[in-house]
Amino acid sequence: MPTVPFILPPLGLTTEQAEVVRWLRSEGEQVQEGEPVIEVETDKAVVEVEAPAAGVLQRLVVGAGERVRPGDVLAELGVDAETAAHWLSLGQPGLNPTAAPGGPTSFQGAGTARAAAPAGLVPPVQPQGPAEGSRLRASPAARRLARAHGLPLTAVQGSGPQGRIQLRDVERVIQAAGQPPHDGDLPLVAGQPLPPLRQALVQTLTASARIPQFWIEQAVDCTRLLAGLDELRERWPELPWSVNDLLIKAVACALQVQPRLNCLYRPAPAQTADKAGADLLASPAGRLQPADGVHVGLVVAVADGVVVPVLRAADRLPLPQLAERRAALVQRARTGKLARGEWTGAAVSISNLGATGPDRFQALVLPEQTAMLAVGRIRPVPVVGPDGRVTSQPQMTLTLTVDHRVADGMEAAAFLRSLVEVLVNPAPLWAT
Amino acid sequence: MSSPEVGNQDLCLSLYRMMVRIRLFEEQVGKLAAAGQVPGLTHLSTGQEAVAAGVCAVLRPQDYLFSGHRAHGHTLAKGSPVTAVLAEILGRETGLCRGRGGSMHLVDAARGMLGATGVVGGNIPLALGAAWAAQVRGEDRLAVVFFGDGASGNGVFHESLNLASLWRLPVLFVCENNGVAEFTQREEHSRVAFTSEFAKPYDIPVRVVDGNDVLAVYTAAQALVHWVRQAGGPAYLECQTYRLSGHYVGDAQAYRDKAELAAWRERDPLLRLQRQLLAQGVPAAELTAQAEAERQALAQALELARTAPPPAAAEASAYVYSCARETPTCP
Amino acid sequence: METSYTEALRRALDEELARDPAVVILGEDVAAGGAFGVTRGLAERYGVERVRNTPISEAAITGLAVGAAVAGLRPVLEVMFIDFITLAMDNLVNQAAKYRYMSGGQLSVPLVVRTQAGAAGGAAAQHSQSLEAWLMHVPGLLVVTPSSPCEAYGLLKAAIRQDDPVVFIEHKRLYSKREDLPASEWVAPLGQARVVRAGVDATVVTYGGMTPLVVDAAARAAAEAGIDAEVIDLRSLVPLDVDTVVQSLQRTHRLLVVHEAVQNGGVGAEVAARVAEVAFDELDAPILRVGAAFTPIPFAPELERAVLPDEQRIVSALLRLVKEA
Repeated sequence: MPTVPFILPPLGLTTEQAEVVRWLRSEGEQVQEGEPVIEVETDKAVVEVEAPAAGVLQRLVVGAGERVRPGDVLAELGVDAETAAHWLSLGQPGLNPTAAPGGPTSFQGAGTARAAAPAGLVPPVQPQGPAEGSRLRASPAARRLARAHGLPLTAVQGSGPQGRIQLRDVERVIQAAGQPPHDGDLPLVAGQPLPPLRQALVQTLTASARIPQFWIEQAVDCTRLLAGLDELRERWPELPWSVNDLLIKAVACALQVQPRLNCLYRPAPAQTADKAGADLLASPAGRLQPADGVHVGLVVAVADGVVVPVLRAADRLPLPQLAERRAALVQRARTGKLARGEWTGAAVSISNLGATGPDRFQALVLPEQTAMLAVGRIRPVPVVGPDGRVTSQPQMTLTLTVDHRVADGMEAAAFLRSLVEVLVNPAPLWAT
Repeated sequence: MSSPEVGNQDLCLSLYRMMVRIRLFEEQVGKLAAAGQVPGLTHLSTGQEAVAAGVCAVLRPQDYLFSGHRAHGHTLAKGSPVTAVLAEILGRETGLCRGRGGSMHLVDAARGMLGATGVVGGNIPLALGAAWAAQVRGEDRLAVVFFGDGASGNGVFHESLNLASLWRLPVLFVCENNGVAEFTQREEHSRVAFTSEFAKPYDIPVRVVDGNDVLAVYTAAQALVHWVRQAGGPAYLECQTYRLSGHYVGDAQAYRDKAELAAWRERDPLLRLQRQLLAQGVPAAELTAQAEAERQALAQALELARTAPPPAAAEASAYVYSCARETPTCP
Repeated sequence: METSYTEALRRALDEELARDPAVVILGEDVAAGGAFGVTRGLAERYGVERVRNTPISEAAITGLAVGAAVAGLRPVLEVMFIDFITLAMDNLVNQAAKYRYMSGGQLSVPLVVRTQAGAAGGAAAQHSQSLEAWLMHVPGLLVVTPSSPCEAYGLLKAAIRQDDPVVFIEHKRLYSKREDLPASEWVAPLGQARVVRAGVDATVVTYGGMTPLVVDAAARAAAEAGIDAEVIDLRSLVPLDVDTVVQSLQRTHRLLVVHEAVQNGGVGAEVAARVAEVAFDELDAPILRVGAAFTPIPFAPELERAVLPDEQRIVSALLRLVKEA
């Protein structure tokens, strides 16, 4: 019986790797085309991968707990001669990028992927190019244009021979977004398909909206915070200081005080892969996984939407280094150059709409995260002093959104209280 | 062979000196080549000095000269400085051709030495072209081309005889018939013992001389050159000579008959001229002094050539085109 | 007034003979006008010394022309068919091409070898070849391939004024083509390709005799398939103007090279390699070539047609390049 490789298909726009949860079928078992045979867990979800063809699972190549990337061989599948021939005819080199961007995928087209390439091969497109071993067909000109726009080729449907992505395919995607390379926020074009990042956001935010969440809110006296910022700018004038640096540090401090919020919620495995959006809601038996450090996400607006890069180990970073890293991270996020792992692992993220933003707002918790801190603008507020005199005080309003499955009101309030305490008197953050 | 010039002692001494220069030069190059200091193949003309010296002595500076792969003697005889020729053979930037040509491709344009070529027979039509240029411009200069008996096997040799005769080109063909084409004796490559026989049907005047008798060569060359200048047509001089060295330095010469070689050593053109000069009453000390002067000049030249810099690698592609760039848009 | 390719060549020779007394013409039958009538009337005007008939001795006359060039003339040698250049290869390749180099710049060879190439109906395998790729492989030679009467006129004048040996390859089919020549004297730039037809969908690189055919094919591809191809006439193969090709490719991102010579080891291979080296990222499709089949040029017209590139093949290649490749 001829064998063909059973390969992990592309798992979406931003997913570069996954962890094998378990095999649903054993070695030697007969499987049908389209039948789920293995569960893998991405940083978004647990996904069932279907058999690409009917056949016998002759050898399982990977086991539970192993990290796999799209294009990696999961198993060897014994098939009949006709299927094998068809497979070969599809599969000269290359991988049909038929996966829908941003979400799990059916297995269609994955059979054209080649076996894994030697480790250490640099993916042709950074940062989110096809994973090692999966050879995307794309013309040199298409690759260059996609690179200039930070557009992953996996998000582009090729229209050339054997699915080769050509210039026109990349241009179509870019034009749909009306997005010149690295440019600012241009409006989406009405009537055009959503650009890939937007499509991914649709998936993410829909999942966010299904999280049972609540909001708590508190205003913060920013007098010392602003004075502190001035002092920091004076002491380290070369650094690009932002109020976000103090917010990140404060969140990190508060998370240390309230570790309950520093957890990631892992939903239970979904019943079917194509219900990925619904699995968070549908599975009551998720599990809490403590974060592997005090990492804080920061929402950054980019051309087609938002990305949430993560400042890792924010609790351990001295403030000047934190400011430096934060600035570099935001820059990479804006230019589509985030490295792998730079957008995962945080339990809490901050959304700050800036000095011209609203007084206060609510933001959705991101899937798997526990809380989202929405930061209103700093504005003068009249306050009545102990002496009964009315004075002007700079204040900002923090709105914390919390996944109720992870934490309750008391814990959330304790966290917010810790946070506000740090912000009202921030000097210790850089005193040591 | 008798000529009014034979009694001219100055001429005889200058011929002697040139032959000594060539002999010493070839011996020196032979040593350098055997020591591995000369890149590539080195073809020496030891034993054939009388032809180079005798023919070139009748030429004017503006006359054109073409030679083949065994060109050191011809180039020196046309007046090129020993240092520049030696430096070229050693592949130095100070060589005649800045180290781009080497032993087989000597060119000294300023002295009318328009080129030696490593392709046997390839030089013959070139000489016709230079002669034609002189003819078209109405200039009083001729072209001389040296080649060996081996070249007579080449089609372009015969084409050139026809063309030179047809166009009445001022060209002197000089065949150094040393009886061997590279490694093959004449009998094995042609039934015709004298290459000048090929020139006759094309109505080209021919002389055959003992090429180891420099005065005979000189006298015949003078007559033919005079004829070429006056008649404006080609002439053919065949010099019977002998290569005392191998085809190239390192040639084992298995094809050579030892007795034949010994016999030709007796007819060494240099010894022969020496005997003639002594018989004419030239003091032996005079000849020794001439030879010593050449020996010293060669030693100096060798020192200069040896210590001269090689061409810069960055300049390896210079001189390919007249424009500096590979994609010239000039003129 | 419209002038034929033949007349354009003659005008260039005439003007250069008049301008510079060092210019001379030689070759088989040239005093009588040459096999294709290019030199007709020139011997009468400039004398048989400067427009000189030669014996059928390609090796000797080429060598002679090289020697004359070295000695200061500017000879224009006619080799009747490029097929016969095989007989002159020592003189071209070993002598002419290397003279300047091997003499360390002492001498140069201002020689033009006019010859003609290509198939034009039944001349068969020894009178129809396109051997330009051999020649462009030799450092020291320039290879010029005029594609129209204007080009023939301007490029021949440029070649004669060039100090290096130029192989000037005319094409049989072009001799009767006619167009208006510039009224005043014009010397074409050597080493600068020319955009014959502007377009955005693909770049078609060609030269010499194929150029008119490619222009016709591009017009048909535009009319029938809406493919707007840019056509570049290389003008010379040495120097090879890759810059112009790359500039075009930056607009079109697709490249087709068309020549009459066989594809194996041909000009198309060189153009494709050069483009891939310097402009890989511009390519949106594999580079395609159209050339003759790897076959001697046959005698029977049906067979000749079968091996040569024609308009239909060029259009098909364009379709494949733009729609399928």
